[in-house]
Amino acid sequence: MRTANKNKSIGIVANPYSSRDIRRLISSATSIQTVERANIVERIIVSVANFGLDRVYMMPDKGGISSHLLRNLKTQQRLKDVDLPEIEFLDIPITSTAEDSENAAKLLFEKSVDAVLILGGDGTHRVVAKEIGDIPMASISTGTNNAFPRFYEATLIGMAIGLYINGIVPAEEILHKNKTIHVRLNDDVDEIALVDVAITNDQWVGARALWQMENLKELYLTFCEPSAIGMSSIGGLLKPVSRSQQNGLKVTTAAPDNCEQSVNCPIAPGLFEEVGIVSSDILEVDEPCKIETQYGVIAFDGEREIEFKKQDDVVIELKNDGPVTIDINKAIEIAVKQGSFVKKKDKFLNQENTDVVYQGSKTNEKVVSV
Amino acid sequence: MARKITYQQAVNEALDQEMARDPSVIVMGEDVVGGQGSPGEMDAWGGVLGVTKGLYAKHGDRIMDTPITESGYIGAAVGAATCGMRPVAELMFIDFMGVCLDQIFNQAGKFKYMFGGKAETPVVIRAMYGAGFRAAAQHSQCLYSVFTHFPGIKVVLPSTPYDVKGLLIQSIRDNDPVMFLEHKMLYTLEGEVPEEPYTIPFGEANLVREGGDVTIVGFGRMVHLAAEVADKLAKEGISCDVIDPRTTSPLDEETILESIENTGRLVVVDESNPRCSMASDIAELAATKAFSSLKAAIQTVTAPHVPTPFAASLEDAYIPSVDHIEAAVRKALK
Amino acid sequence: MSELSKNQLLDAYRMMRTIRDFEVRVHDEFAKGGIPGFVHLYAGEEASATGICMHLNDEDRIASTHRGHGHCIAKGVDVMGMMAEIYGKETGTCKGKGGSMHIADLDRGMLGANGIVGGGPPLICGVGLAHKMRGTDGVGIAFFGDGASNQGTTLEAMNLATVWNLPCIFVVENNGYAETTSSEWSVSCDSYADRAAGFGMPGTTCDGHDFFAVHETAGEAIKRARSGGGPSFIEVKLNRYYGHFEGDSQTYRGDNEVEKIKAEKDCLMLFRKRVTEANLLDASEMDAIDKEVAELIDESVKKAEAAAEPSVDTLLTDVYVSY
Repeated sequence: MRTANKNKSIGIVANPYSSRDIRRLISSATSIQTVERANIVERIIVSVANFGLDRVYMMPDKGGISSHLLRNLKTQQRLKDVDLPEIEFLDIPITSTAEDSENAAKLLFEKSVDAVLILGGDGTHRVVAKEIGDIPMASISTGTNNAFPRFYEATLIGMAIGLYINGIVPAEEILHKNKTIHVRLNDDVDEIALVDVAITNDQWVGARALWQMENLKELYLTFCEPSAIGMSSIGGLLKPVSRSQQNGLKVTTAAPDNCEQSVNCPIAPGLFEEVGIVSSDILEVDEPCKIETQYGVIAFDGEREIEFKKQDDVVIELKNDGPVTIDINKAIEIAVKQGSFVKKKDKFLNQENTDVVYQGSKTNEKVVSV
Repeated sequence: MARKITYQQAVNEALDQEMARDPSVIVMGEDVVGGQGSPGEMDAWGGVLGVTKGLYAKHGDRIMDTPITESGYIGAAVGAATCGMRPVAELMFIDFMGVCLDQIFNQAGKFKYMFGGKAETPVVIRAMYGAGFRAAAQHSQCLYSVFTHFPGIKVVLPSTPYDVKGLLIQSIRDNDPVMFLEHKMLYTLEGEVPEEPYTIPFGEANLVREGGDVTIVGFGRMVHLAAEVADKLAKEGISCDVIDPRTTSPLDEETILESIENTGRLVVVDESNPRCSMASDIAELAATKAFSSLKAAIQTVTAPHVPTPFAASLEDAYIPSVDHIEAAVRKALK
Repeated sequence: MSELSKNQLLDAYRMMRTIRDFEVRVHDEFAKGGIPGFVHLYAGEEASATGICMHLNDEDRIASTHRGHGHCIAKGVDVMGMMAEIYGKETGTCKGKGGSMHIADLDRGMLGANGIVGGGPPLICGVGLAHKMRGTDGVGIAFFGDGASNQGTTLEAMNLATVWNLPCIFVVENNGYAETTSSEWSVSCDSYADRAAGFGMPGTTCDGHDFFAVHETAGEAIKRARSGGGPSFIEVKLNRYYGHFEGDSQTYRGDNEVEKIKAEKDCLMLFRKRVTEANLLDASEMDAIDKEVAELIDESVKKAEAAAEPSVDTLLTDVYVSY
């Protein structure tokens, strides 16, 4: 499986602080332990290295991920026989805030790494997506709702990254450009969300998480799948919009008692709330619109971020300028079809594997019969 | 003539009666119920030697098993006492004091003083002490002198079933932190114990034998050995005061000093190791406050300065015996 | 998402300002030589004590650390009495017998600053146990530092609180340093929230420079405990401005570390900024509080200096209730 070409690099942004917020108290949300995060990073590195990886640029952290990883790399026998890449820590100051993810992403963009792996929740993905241009991202969900990243075992993600960066599968078939919502405040702040922008009339950002739906006023969604939790489930269980559809959804909400319609949604893991629906409309791409709420807080991908007042001008716009993601399933399926994993005595097939009859997901290829 | 029960049963009865009388009395310790969380019998043990058996059936959740976490639950008992509960926590063996001592001497013992008088910490910590069980070095110590040393703590050492019930009830009703120490070799000792609840005040020694020739002060189980020696010597016409202080803090100095003034000769019998023991404490008391009455050097009978050995032959040599005590009395009489 | 009334916001500001000015003043007076013994100052950490204690009443009890002045003030202990106690005077909260590390007021549910690292958590299990046995809805809150989080007593208490489902909240005020050793070096799993998970209780982290974040997080934890939901763990990440104790030259900290924190993250500054920008409070209202607090602290020092030391007759008193 190994190719001779080893000049490949990936960046890893692993957030030690995701899934540690107040939602641990108000719901039975998961918390992924630091040691597990370090294990995940190790699994990815080994999996990508299986196909060819020269260098890993890692975001440094004081939350324990880097230190556990380094310790394992030094002390664990199982890693001593693997052809590991060079691990380099990005030269950024460690603030132990979202700024670290942002600074790491900026540097990874400058270094033109071949792919970026993110361990974090929706918030981390958002921060990285802003800075990473079109460098493809792959995700491990370690956040609370994880509406943006899809769930996959780390090893499989490593495989897909490895297949992509080494050119084993054609890029155009496995990369997908995502939508974003831009929020402009008074023409001088431009923030993006990957899944949802929520407008609430909370007094402050506080503990940041969103779970009290009585304060929710407006919701703007890039996509909303039926099988997702978090804010997007308000749309996903009402009028689903897929990731590839060229539009989003806007929903205005109010107390259920005051509405003709309401939706019962999982707005956090294991936590259902009834949300009253005033209206739901298609959100068109490249069509800016002003929000209706006068003052309150703007939440991005489930976290309160920006407080705004009456005098502030807040404009929402859905755009197609989001990050590029790798389709994990498709990458591996294509490679299987190519016979990329099968070795016939001393050489790989590297040709169409005619024994394969698997239908696969979303494939529009003819079924090959034996 | 009151009925006879064992020392162990007397402890159980005191706890039972106080729990019935006062809902703020709660009991906790390792295996004091015995079986919490397990699939089999509840109240399987009722304490490692069965002392608290039956209390769960009568008082339910007010008696609780704890994990093996002395700092945790002794501290919790102390904290609950500051909130007005009356916890009786069991430190299974006094030898385990190392893992929870801070909560006792730095926290419970000092709150009242450090906080300018406002705090009250009515906690009782019961613990087993003493050698003779072949339980070896880490389960056989006495250590009451260590607690006696701490201001703010009271230390109670009953030697009979009658004393243990009265003093335990007194300890529970007392508003200061109390170390309530039960000699494990005395659990099966039978004695007359009134059925109704009663108290025995702290700082009041019990005169177990009366006599004018020698004062013998004994602690815990040693009181019985001292009494045995006194009875033997009585046949030779030697009469002894045998004093059981019952509490080492507060200490009934008056009774001890009065006796020494009368006899002029003192023997202290203390099962502890000798350095900084109750033996040295009583000797200091006599030497400083009854010096002029002394007609002979003070004799102390203690275990040697060694950990408690395991082998029967060695442990028997370790514990002060009636022979040791007799020899000491005769020496005092020279 | 806590809604705070104007009065509550004013109270919060007053509380934090009182703690700040109290500590700064003690720092100054200590440097002049006016204060005996050891003091450990809370300046910089005000949002933690305030955000959490604002949810509590006198039936709720807290245990604190050697760095206890902030918790005392937040719990409602009288400032005059506290200053006098730090000066070792007879008018002190503890009649001059406890000093800075042992200030307590049981009537206000303040179980004392504690000179023993990790001394508090087991006591708070006792508070929880008392409420549970009596069926009352009070809570116990154990404040401790990153250093104490490694102490056996803390870990035992966390286990016990979960096993007995006690209404206790464990708050680690992680200021990054246990005396001089950094918490990164000394805390094995690098994450307090992970430690909580190990004990079967939810663990959360919040920014201790942001009063609103602390207030909201604590509110949920306390609500959960009061309703029988059991114990939880909050890590409050914050910074102390002064040394471990007064006299500590803090050479173990980075260059300009403290100056930078003061300039960017000071909790009072962030609070003021937020409430004025959102037109929740007027700057003039807070300025008025600043003035009142300055006068209060000033008066407390004057009174403390003027008061007498406890008479020698009190040396032997208050050891036992009866002996």
